[in-house]
Amino acid sequence: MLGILLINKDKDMSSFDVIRKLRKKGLNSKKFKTGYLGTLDPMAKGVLPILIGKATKLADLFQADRKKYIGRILIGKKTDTYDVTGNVLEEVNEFKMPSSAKIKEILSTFRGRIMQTPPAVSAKKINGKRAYEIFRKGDQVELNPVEVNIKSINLIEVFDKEFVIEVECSKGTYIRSIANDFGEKLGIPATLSGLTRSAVGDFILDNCITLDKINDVKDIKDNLLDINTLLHLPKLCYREPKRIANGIFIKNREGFEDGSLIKVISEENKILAIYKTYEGTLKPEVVLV
Amino acid sequence: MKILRDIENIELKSCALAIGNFDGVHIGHQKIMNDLLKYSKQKDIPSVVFSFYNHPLIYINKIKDYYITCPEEKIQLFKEQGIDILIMPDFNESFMKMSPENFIKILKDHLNPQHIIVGKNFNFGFARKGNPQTLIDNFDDKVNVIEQVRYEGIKISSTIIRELLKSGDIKKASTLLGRNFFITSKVRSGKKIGRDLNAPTINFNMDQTSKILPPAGVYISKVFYDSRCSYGISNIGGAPTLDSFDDKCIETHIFDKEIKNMYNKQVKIELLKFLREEIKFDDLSLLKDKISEDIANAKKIINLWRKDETNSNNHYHSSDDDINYKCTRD
Repeated sequence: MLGILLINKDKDMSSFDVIRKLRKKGLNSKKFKTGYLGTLDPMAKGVLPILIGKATKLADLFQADRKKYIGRILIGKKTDTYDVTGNVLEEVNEFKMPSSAKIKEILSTFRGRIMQTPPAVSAKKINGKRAYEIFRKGDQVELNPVEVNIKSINLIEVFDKEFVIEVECSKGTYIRSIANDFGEKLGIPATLSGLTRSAVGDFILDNCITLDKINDVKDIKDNLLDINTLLHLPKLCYREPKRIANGIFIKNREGFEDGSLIKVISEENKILAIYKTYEGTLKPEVVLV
Repeated sequence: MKILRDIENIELKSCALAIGNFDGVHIGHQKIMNDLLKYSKQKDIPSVVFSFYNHPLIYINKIKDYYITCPEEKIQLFKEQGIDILIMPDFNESFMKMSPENFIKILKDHLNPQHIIVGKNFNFGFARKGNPQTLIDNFDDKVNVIEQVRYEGIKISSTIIRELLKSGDIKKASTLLGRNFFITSKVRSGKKIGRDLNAPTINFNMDQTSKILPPAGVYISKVFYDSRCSYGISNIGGAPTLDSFDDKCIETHIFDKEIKNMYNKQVKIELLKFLREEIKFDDLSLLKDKISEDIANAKKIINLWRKDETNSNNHYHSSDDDINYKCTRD
């Protein structure tokens, strides 16, 4: 098995729970490596692409730098995790809900390349240790701000004490941090109360299935997306798959641009490997057969 | 034929529908069109073709040299088939990410097809996830899946025709297309050197198109312009003797006609037969001699075809086995 399964993750389960459940449904974890693209917090739902088999080797190619989220921000509370699952550090009950115009004005300050401090409860590493491990031990977590790129951030809807935003951003962006930072900028604490990932690159929610639609391995196979149609790279047809499996070098007869990635396919249009161009020679980058 | 560039602007009560890219409109596609027209006449409902304007693979993989027929050429061929409505939206990001279910919903909402015809290897929706079975699951027995047409045992597909064209097998490509392979373009101004070589030419530059062209060299061709038609020879590729190496240039010399006021005129050129490969000459006069020889050779072959033509009107498979002429290819 080789391909991508697009899962619409439910709330209240970790990203790894999804893989655990797929294994229970018959996905052989010894035979096929399995991984996912971009962790979704347990409280978040939405697009979670699962890479199966040798597709796991292609994670970097699919790790799109374009992710889309729908976030719900609650005003009046500050928590240690920056979302409603955490311990409340500060609570304000009497406040005037900011106007749409005010919310939009603050949101606009997040647009573009900005520095963002990841939450203390995050999988970021500090001296080789996960930040959340240090935090749970009760030690002080000091994370440095990281540059992230927020392509767009828009207000969708405003409620009593909450509002909904849509964010398009680079990988590594924490929507939880946006919620917390929003509170700081507003002067009233805020935290994330809901999160849905609506897209990871070309993978959108419309094309995802929920775990309850998968009963057995056949359902996994039926819903698996073909790597070949998903990888938008120039292709080279090679007649002898065995030699590709051996990792041979190929002469760059087609004149592919230096440094470019090429997908090598069989005569039956099956993907065999990803090669990289080094001047006159194509060398294997990832072999899939 | 009504041409719509957007599906949002149409709402049909019923129709017979064919879906596909139909690049080349080859004999397999023509079979689909025939079935479509037959059904639409029988039930007295409009015949509709849904095809993208630009080829999805060109959009997604940004490949060059792919079209057997460029979008406008494809429209022309659909017109000739006698289709009532052609829906040709641009393939864009939203179509690329569209789930098969959403595509089916659009078809139901806007076209309400009573009959759907697709080829067996038809795929649609994100990651080509939808296939004829997906259509059958949604439209039941309204779906008619056409097996790939075979010619001498080979399954006819646009991919095979592209390979044939790339390898220079014009004759076989034309057989599978059911017509001669052609190029349409507006005439551009050239280097005006042909005049001095006793062979004035009309020139095309296909650089800006994704049209596939057969290998560089000289071809016997048939030229259509102003509702007239004459034979000629075409050079595909650069002009190596003149140190020009644009590989997507076409220069055509039309036989026995004076070339006048041709600039910006829409011309169609059918490529009939490969004559010789591109050669770089040291001297322009050698090139001049070679061109005269090419013209004489081409005329000889055309005369033989004309004799054949009186017996059969089947132009595209004019047999050249019995021609006593040594070719560099074939």
